[in-house]
Amino acid sequence: MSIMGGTGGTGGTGGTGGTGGTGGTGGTGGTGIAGLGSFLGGGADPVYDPILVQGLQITEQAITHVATKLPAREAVELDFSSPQNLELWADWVRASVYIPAFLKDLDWEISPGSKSITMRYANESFAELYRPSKQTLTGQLEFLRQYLDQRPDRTPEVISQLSFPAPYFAMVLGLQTCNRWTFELMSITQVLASHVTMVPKHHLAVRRACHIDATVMPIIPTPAHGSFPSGHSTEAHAVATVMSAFVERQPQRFPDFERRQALLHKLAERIAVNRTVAGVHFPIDTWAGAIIGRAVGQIILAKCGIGSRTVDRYSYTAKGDRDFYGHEFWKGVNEPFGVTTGGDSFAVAPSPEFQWLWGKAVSDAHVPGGAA
Amino acid sequence: MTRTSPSTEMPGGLGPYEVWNFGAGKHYVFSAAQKSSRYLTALAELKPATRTGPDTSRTAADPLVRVWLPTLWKSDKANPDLFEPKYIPFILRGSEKSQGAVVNADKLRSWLLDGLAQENLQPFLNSVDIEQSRFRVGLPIAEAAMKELGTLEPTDPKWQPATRILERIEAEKHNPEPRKRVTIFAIIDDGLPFAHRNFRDASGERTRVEFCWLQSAKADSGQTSVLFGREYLRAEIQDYVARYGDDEDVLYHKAGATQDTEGLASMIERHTTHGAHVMDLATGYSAEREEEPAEEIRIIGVQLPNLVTMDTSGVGKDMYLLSAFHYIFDRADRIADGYGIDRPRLVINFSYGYFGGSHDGKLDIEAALSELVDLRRATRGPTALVLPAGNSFLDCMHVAVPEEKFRSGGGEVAIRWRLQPADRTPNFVEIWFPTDLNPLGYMAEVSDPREIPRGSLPVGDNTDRICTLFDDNGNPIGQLSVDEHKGHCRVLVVTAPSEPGDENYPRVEAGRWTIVIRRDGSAAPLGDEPICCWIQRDTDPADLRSGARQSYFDDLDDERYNLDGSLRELDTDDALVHLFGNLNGLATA
Repeated sequence: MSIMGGTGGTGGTGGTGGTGGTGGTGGTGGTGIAGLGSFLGGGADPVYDPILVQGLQITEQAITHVATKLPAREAVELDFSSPQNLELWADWVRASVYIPAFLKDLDWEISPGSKSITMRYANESFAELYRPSKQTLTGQLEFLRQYLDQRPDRTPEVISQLSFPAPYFAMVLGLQTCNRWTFELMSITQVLASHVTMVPKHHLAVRRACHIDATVMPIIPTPAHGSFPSGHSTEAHAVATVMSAFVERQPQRFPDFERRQALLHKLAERIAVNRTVAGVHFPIDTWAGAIIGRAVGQIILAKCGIGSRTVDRYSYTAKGDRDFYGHEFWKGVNEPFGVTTGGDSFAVAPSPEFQWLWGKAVSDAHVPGGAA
Repeated sequence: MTRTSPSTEMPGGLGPYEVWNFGAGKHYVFSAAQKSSRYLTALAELKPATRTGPDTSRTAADPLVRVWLPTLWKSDKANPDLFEPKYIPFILRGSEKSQGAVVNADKLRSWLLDGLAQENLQPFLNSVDIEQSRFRVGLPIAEAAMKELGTLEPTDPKWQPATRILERIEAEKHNPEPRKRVTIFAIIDDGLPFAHRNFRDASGERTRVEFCWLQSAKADSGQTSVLFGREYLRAEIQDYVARYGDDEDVLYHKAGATQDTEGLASMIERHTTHGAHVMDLATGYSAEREEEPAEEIRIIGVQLPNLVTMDTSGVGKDMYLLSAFHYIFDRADRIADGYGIDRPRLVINFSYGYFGGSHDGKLDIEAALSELVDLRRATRGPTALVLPAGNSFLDCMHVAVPEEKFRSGGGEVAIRWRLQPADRTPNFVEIWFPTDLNPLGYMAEVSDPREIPRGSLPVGDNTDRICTLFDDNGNPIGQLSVDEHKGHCRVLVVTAPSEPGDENYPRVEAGRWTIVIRRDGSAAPLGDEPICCWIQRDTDPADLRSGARQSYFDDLDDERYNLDGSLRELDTDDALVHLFGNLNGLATA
C-alpha cells in the first residue's frame, strides 16, 4: 500500500491568461480512479506566478494609503488548544494533527527468540503476531494457485484497488461529495492503519509469494515491503470496523445499518482477497492484516469517544493450510484458524481531535434540513 | 477431528440429487421465491404392475397433498384418459413449504406416493405399481406463477387457425408444383421476444407465433389453459402488436410478460437474450436480410423459468422441460388439425442440457424425451430435435479411466477435482461405471484439499447407498452416493458451496479435492469401456448473479497448451482428462 500514491500532485499553477489575468491556483492533481482524494494534499497553499505577485505588490502600494488614516482594532484570539480550530486548518494539516495524536501511544516489542512482535497501544498489547515459517508459506502457495482462476473476473477490481479503494466504500455507504467529513474519517482511518501495519511488516520481514515460487507471477507491481500482514487487509478491516459503528449510530441516515455492516464486512474481505488473486498476498497475510485493522478501527472509535468502545487483544499464529474467510474472521477467537485471545479487552482514552472529527462526520449533510 | 458417517440406504424411488436438494443441500439450492413455495415439480417413471386396473392399495395419508398435471400430449385424441408414456410430469403440493424443517427425502417420498394415490389421477395410472415408481423432483414453482386449477389438467386453449394461412394452403393445393408446406417450429429458451417483427409475416402485421408459454410469468387467474405461468395465443399477440407494436418494451409490459415471479429482473427487458438470438436463427424472417417470407413457419415458444439455469445439479429443470415437450406436441396437434395438415412436421430447438448424465440415452429426462419423440414419429409425423452440443467442449470436465490406469496405479486411480473459492453454488461429479462390469470390489473415497478423508463407499454391493460428508466441526458439507441407474452403476459426489450465500451454513474448502477409485484383489478388471466422470455445469451464463464458479478436473498430465502457446485442441495421451467427451448429456440417445 502506498500512502502518498493516491494523492496525486498539487497540480499546475494554471495559465497566465491575457495581460490582466491572474491565472488560477491549479487543482490538487489527479487522484486516479481510487485513492485518498484531495485529503492529504488538500488545502495546500497555491503557488503564485511572478506576474500575480507583482500585481499584488503594485496594488498594495496603490491603495494602502486610504487605510492607514483609520484606527487599528485588536484582533480576536483563537481558543487555545481547541479542536474547533481544526476547521480552520488545511486538510493536510489536519492529517498531520491526527497522525501524531494517534501514533504517540503506539509501541511494540520484538521477540527475536519466538520471531514475534507484540503491538501495543497506550502500554496495552492488542496484537501478537508470529512470523510464519517457510513451511507455512509454502503451504499457502496452494491458495495462490486456487485464486489464480479468478484473475479474469477480478482484474478490474484489482487494478482500481491499487491504492485506497474509497469509491468502493462510498458505493456501500451512499456517500456524496458533500460528505467530506465522512470521507475524511475513512481516509485518516486507512492512513493510520497503514502506518501501524508497516511496523510488523518491517520487523517480521516475510517474503512475497512471487519470491518463493516463480509460478505466482503477480499481475500488479509487487509492493516493496513485507508480505505479512497485508496492508490492504489492515486498511479495509479498519475502515469496516469504524464505519460499521458509524452507520449503527445514525439510524436516520442509515436506517438499514445491518445491511451496510454486512456489506462493509464483505467488502473488506473482497478487497483483501483480491490481493491474493493478484498474486501479492497469502491468505495468512489477510488474517494478520484483518486482526491489526480491526484493532486500529477499535482504537480510533475509542479515541472518537464512541460509547464504551474498547480494544480486543488477539494472538495470531498463521496456519499454512487455511484460507481466509471474512465470516470466520469476524467471529473473533477462532482457534482452527490460529486466532486466540490475548486477554481481556482494554479501554483507550478519547482524543479531542478524533472526537471533533467524528462529530463533523456525523453532521455531514444527508437529508434536506440537516444533520442526524 | 474428522467425523465420517455410516452410509444409509437411498429412500426408494428417489435418487441422490433429491436426497441432497431436500436434505443437507436445501440451504444452497433454492431461491427465495422457491423456498417459500409449496409447489414441487416432479416426474415419475411409472412401473407396470402385475395387477390390472387402478392401484387401490394406497390411500393418501396427508389430505393436504395435491397433484395437478400440466398440459399432457395424448397421442390418441379419441381416448383422453389413455396416457402411454412411462414418464409423467406433475406438480405436487406438499403440506409444507419446500424448505420447511420437516422436509427431507423420506417426507418427500411420502408426499409423492400420497400424490400419486390421489383419486382423480387413477385413470392415468392403470396397471401401474405406484410403490415401485421412480421420481425426479425438481425446482419448486414460485407461488405467484402457479394456479390451483379445479381440474386435474388444464383446459383446451381457445385457439383458431389464421384465415390467411388457410387461404394460402388452399391456393397451394391448386399449385401444379406445390412447395409451401406448414412446418411447426418450437423454441424452448429464455427471454423469447414473441412479438418481434422477425416472427411476423412479410407484411409485418401478422405474427407467426401461434402459441407462447412463459412458464414462470405471473399467473393470469382467468386463464385455465396452462397450469402455471401464462400462455399467449396468436390472436392475443396479434392484438398486442396492433396496439403497441411500435414499442416492444411497452408491449411486453402491457402483456404481463415482464412480470417476474422469480425474484430476478425480467430477462425480456434486457438488450439481448439467448432466446431472441436462437429464435431468430431458427425461425426469424427479415426483409433486410433478403430472406424469403416465412409465412408457413408457424412458431410455438416455451420459456423455462430462469432459475433452472441457476440450479447446478441440473435435475431442477426436468419437469419444466418434459412439460414443455408435452405442451409443444399438444399445441402442434392443434395447429395441424386447424390447418388440416397431414403428418405435420415439427422441429424443436431447445438450448438446455446436462454436463453430467450417463451419456447412453437412458438418463431419466433424456429417456422421457426420447419416448415422446418416438411416439410422435410413430403416430403423428416427422419430429426433429435440435440440441446444443454443450458449453464445455475442450474444457476439463470429463475424465475417462481405462483399465491400464488401475494396473499402473496398483489398483487405484486418483482423480483430482478442483473446487473454486467464492463459489456460492454446490458442485456435482458423476462417476459412471461401465455397463459390462460387475463393480463388486471397487470403492470410492473422497478427500479434501488437506487430504483429510471425508467419506468412502463400496460400489458394487447392489444397494443404493448414501453417506454424508462432514467438515472438521461435524457439519454436513457434502454427500457421496452409489446408485444403480438402469443397469449403470453411478457414484455421485456432491459438495456444498465454498462461500454459501448465507454464511451461517457450512461450506467446503476450495482447492484440489481427490476422488480415489480403489479396487481389491477380488474385483473384476475393466473391459473395453472405461469408467467415465463428468462434472455438472456450475456457471452463470446469463448473469443471473448465482455466484456459480465452475469446478474442473485438475489433471497435471493434461497438456493444455501447445509449444507455441496456443490452446491445445487434442486429448493428451495418458491423461485422465479427455477434452472430447463433453457432449451434452441430453444429446446422447
